Amino acid sequence: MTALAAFDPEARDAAPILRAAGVSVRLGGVSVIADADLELHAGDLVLLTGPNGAGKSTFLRALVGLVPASGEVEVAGRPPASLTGRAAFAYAPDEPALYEDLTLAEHAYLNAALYRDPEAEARTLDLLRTFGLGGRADEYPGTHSRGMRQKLALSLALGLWRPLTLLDEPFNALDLESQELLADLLRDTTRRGGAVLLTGHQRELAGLLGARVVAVRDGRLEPQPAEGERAAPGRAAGGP
Amino acid sequence: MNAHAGAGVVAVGRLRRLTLLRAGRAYARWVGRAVGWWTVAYLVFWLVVFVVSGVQLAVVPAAEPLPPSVAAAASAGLSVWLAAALPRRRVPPVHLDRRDLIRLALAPVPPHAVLAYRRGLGRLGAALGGAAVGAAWSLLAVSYLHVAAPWAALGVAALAVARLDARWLLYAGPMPVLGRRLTAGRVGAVLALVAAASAAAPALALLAGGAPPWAPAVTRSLVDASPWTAAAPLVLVACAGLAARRSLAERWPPRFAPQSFVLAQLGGMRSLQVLSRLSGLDLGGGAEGVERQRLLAALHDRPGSLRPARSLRRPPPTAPTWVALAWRAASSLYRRPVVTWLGLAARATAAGAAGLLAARAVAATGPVAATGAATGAPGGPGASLGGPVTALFAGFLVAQTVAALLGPPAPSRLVPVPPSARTWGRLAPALVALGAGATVAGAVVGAVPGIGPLAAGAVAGYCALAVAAALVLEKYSSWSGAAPTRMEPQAVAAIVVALPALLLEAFGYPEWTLTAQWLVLAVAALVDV
Repeated sequence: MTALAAFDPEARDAAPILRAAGVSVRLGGVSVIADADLELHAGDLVLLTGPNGAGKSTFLRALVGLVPASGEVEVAGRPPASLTGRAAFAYAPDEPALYEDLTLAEHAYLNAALYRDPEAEARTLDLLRTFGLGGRADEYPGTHSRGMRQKLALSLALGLWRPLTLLDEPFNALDLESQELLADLLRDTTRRGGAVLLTGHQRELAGLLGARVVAVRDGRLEPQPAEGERAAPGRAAGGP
Repeated sequence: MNAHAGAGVVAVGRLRRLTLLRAGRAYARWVGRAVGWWTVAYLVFWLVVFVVSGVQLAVVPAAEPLPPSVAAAASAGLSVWLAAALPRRRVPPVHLDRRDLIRLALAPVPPHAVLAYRRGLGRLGAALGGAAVGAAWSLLAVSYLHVAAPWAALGVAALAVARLDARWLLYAGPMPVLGRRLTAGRVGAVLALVAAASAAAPALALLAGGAPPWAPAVTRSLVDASPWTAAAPLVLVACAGLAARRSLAERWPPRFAPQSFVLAQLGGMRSLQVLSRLSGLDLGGGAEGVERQRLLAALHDRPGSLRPARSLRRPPPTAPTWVALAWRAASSLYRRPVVTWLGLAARATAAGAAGLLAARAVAATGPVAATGAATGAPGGPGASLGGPVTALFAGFLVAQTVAALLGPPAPSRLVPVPPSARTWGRLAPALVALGAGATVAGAVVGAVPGIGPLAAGAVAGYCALAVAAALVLEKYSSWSGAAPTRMEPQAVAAIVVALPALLLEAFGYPEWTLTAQWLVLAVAALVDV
């Protein structure tokens, strides 16, 4: 599975990039997600909202196989655990998962090498520069703030240009400027034909991103009506 | 300020009592349920009985007392230990954890009240350690020096506590103790020097040929039965304790808070490592070593806290995945301290020596033995090392070495890396190190009289054994999720590589061991997990 090329509008009508049918998650005997269905096509941008503990992150983890779940999940027509399935998505968890003994530039290199996409390194370094971390690419992430670590994690996921990008609470800890940048990057990803599924507490994010909203309530996914207005970026992302 | 401070001191005291009481109750409940207090009492009783009877059996009174130079040597050792506190002033001897640092150290509470609990714990530990050493000395002095020293435990305990306080004073440096001129650093230096010089005096006098002047020594409790011998150490500890408390009257030493942050992280990392080793989890491979180095650099304001001190050049982006993973593993090894390199080199050489001797013995019994006498004849010193037990031992040593060389854990299962790329990538630096270790070991073993140079059969046998053990270790640990540093994957690797020798010897075909070893290697390489 190679990185995305130019977006083909016809692709929206083709097979879904993500297909989740009847996904249920039980943790410690408690039902967290019950019988959830979701489909994402090329160019889709979907925001999962819901209160704390609703199960948004759990659902994302279930989709990529980090949490045991029943039901069917396919990424680009393949099970997400298969080699081709894994090559089709990029996932950034809510807490950045970084190697403390690698510099930012080394993260970009290793990430590109693991996905066998040499150009991803340059794209990731570009994203780091966009986020204002270009001059710190030779530093360890352990010395960086939560927001800077988040920017690195997002650059690694978005620099891969995978057909499906899954981001858990990506706007957390970002400054206002970076939130706007991230919104632009997500829209770019969908314009290129990628599908993005992200979680967030604020439904206003949907206005900022132009995203389809799916609410997680009592473990069930409920599609929400589209929002007409577009909120101010700072307010939308939970800023002051 | 005073009202604030008074209320703060009371609040900190109440907080400590409350949390310690709750922790104590929870611990007592847990011990009661998990072990049972009667069991604990039973174990303690028998432990005391065994220790006392063991000491009575082991310590046999000498007919002739040892010369007084032994006591002088002990005094000199104590003086060196006390003087060793002098240069250690860059890191605080006690620190706060992150929670206390945020919640208490930033609040308007006198620092001595905030640090009292940690200082108390540190002083208690020092006192117990000192008392144990002093008590052991009392016991030995009666038997071997024919000298009663019943107050040695109290004297050494007091010196240990005074040393801890002196270290704090030396760390606190410019903090005032009494007026502006009498700073903590000066008081600490004077106390440590007085104590060290006083303890060194008997040793110096003895070296000069005179009688040891025990009178002024803080170590007099080591050779005298009078209770007054503990007076000097107790005065010392009182002075040091008072000065340390006064140095914490209003302000913290300038670098105390940032260093506490780092020390708390290092402490947390140490605890996590201990727990991970106990539970067999692999939390970071070599990564925690690099992180520890980074934290130590931050602690001492050295370069290396932000950027790596050394880096390996990255392979081109078009290189295969296994090359990138090999770079990752090699990079992690390259950034470890030089002392760690030396340790790893020694282990690789030891594994090479054990493996080569085992393979040499196997080769000597097999068809390869016919290639020449250089392999050593069966029945010679090499053959006595042969057999499944030797192969098991060599396999285990190789597996242990490979576990230390594997570096960071395998990439996440979410990343699309084929198992073979993962295995060969992670193993590449380890195999190179094993090869280098085996070359050195081969040269050393070959130079030993009676063994002679190793034949090609022995080298081939070692290659098959080492690579198979490494493959089994990596694949089994990745498949099962057990950390490679754990005993289980290492034992599995050792058993698998020892199987050919075990089975073929049992069935009477030991000459096919080498061939079977290569077969095991082929199977281990082909299993795709």
